[in-house]
Amino acid sequence: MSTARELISSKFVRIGEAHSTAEAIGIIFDPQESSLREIVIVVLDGDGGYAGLVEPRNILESLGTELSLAGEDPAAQVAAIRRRLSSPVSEIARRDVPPATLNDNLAGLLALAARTEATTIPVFDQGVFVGVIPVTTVFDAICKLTLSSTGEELPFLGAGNDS
Amino acid sequence: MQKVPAILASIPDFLVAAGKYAKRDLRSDTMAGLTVAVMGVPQAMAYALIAGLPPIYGLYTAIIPAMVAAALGSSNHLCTGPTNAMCMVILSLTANLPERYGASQLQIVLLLTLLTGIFQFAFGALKLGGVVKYVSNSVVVGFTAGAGILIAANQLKGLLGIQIPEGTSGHFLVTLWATFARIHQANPYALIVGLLTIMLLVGFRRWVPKIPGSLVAIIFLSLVAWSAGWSETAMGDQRLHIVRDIQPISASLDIFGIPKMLVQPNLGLLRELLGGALALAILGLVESTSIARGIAASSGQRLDFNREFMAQGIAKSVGSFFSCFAASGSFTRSAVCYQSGGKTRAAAALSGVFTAIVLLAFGPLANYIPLACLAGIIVVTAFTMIQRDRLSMTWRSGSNSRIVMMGTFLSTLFMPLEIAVFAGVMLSIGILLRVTGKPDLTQLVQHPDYGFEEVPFNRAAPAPVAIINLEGDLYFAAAEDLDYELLQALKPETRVVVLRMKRLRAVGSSAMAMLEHFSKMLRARGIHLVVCGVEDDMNRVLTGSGVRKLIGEQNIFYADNRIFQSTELALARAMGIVEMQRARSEAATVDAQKHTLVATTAADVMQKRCLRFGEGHQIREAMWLVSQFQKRMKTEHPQTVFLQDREGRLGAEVSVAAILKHLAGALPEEGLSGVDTEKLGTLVGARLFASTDSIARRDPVTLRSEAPLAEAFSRAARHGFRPMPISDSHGRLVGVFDELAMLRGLTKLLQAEQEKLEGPPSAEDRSELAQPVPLT
Repeated sequence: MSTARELISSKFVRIGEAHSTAEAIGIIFDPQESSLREIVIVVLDGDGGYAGLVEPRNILESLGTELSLAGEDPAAQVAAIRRRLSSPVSEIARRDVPPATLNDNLAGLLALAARTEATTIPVFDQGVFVGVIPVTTVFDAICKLTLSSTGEELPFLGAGNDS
Repeated sequence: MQKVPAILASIPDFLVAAGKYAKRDLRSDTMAGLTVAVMGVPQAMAYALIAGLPPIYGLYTAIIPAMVAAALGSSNHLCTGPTNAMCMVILSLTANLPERYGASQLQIVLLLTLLTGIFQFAFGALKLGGVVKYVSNSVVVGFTAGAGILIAANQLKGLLGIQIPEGTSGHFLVTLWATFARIHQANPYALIVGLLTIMLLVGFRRWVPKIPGSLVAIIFLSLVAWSAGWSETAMGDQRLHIVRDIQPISASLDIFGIPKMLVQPNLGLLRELLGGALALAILGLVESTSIARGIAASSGQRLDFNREFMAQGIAKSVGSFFSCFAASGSFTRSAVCYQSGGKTRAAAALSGVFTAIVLLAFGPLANYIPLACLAGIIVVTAFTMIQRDRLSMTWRSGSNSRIVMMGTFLSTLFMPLEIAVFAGVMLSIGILLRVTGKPDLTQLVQHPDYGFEEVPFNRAAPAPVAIINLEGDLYFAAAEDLDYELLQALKPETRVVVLRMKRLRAVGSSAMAMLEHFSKMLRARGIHLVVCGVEDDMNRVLTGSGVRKLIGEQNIFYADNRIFQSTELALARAMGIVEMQRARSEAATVDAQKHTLVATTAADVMQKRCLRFGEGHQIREAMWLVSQFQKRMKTEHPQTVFLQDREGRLGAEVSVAAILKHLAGALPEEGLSGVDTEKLGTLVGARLFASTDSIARRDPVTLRSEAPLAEAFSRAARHGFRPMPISDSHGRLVGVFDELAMLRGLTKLLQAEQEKLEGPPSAEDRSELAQPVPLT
């Protein structure tokens, strides 16, 4: 039986709240960090506690907001983006992502994955952040469970599905 | 009719040829042979004394080897017989051996002679005639001068009429010391005869050169000594020693016999003689070939050195069965043979015949020749070996010649003679390797008026093209570190290096390895390599080693008859490369400006790999497709499946989020902790067979591939930054403008806008956008 304990991953990047958004982008495009399957940035507060997640979409949304406020003036747009990039990452970190616990089963994780707009689920153990579970991991677990249990071959395998 | 055998058929031709010879050349050859014999008899007897042997063996050596070598050799004028340098080496090699091996010196010398002959024959048979070229003129001059002094020092005892202990001969300082330590025992009659001999020889050579002074001195002084009774036993300690005292000469040629050391072989002795025999063989060949070559230069005869080597070898080998020691080409007798009108090899052979007649007719009279007289002859000929003009010329020919000549000279005086020859050769080769261990490097600079100008290496003015001229040998030692040396010619302006290789020799694998490494070092610096002046040999090595492929056929120019033609072509190629690089650089600059400021589109930053699927499939099929894609692409970013119609036009999209929402819809609203894996499978399994159409988003927001980045980002912002498919003009999917693409595009857009407003970003600005962050 798959549970959060079995699916949890410790492969993510931790940064402090005071780091800038530009630094978060730097991590996403850093070749060394890009060797990870997915860049998950976890923001930690001053005490080392969980302070939220940063994903590309968070950054894009914050930049989009700044740009919409800046109007049509290019100089104002550039200034707005620069302002956003230099602002602390804590301002854009998502704290509303529904968390899982170590004992959550796959059904519970599926429910969380379906509900969240994030790509990552934070996992806590007795209130302490212990890791993350990418939504794709939950998806893979469901695939393994269901596609093998259907007991049927998938006749189209590899046919015309270039990626 | 029965055919006449070929050998019989050739008899008339032979008789005709013999008749012609008898009519045309026999007289000349007879006179030349007689002259050589008259002049050579005293020399032969004296030289035997140098070798530490009785004079009679010198006469034998002037008969048999002279005839055999003349019969088989190729030179018409080379006279083979005893020579002073060879005799000195024989003495040096054998003086100490009789006591150690219990054999007579004569038997040891005969074995040495046989070995020397075998070596020489092998050199000729194996066509190793070129081996003598490794003995340079400096070695020959130094050795001859040293041997001359050594011979003179050895004969001082004979001149003074004193006896020194056996075993001291051949060692310069020991001989001198032993001689002067006994100078109080000097025999005044011997001294008188010796000095008179020297005076007569010098006088005749100066004033009556056509008369052999040595023969006159021997006859005259033998008569004086005999008539004065100086060789009588009544003279006591003052008695003058004569030839008979060493070994009587009889009028006989009963000299054939197998050398005893062949019948009773001594392996220890054989081993000890081998090195010396090799040295003696080389020395003999050097002497013979240099004499033959010198006379052939005047006579115009073309020589076959390998045949000459074999003839010399056979002459010695045969001679060792006739009590002859190692002979060699004699310069004085060969010169006399040529100057006396000798036309064919018969002249040298006849000199042997006449020597035999002299021996048979006057042999017993030779017993009365004073040894001091022979010593005087030796001292005079020894000093003629110190050829001042050749010494002077060699000395003035540069430091390398001086070093080799003096090294060989000193080795001859103070080392065993057989080692002295090798020492000189090794010194020559060592200096040769030092000189050729580095190819000459220069640089060529093209001048508009007079073609190419050669300047010292690394002195050419900085230019985009550096032309380096390589000359000399490029064997393994020369190739070492040459690549790093070539790099010194590079300047910051250098874009192409042209290597001119026309005058390179001895190019092998080391040179190719060097060239390969040099090419790679240039490539790492962004510099092109072009080679020119490539000859056929070089081309073969370049091809075989694979370096030709590395350099590229378009960068190789082959040597041509017209000087500098391939260099000109190579230079044209190099200038073309420089121009091409400059044009590319300018185009890249313009393109980069256009790219960042004006024409960046969504297609420039899009993710080209995306999931395409047909319409009407089941959800489970779409799930399988996504899971496989994630595995293959090693990504954990949730993907979107784009659904196409049969014409490939985009119709809908299904995201992972939509699939998960669809499956989660099967879950109960409460009590999820009680839903185990099996139950979960059952619950969601029922939903897998639904069509993707049921969860697909129809008519997704698409971007045109040529949409400007600003427009793409604006549209993405309006649609919540969801991945947007990018289609071509036919509506077919070409990529995805996903979140990472958006972020990448946004930073580009920001840089472009910033440059428009403020100019190019500073290094700080760039690092602000792309700086790696320390992990906490």
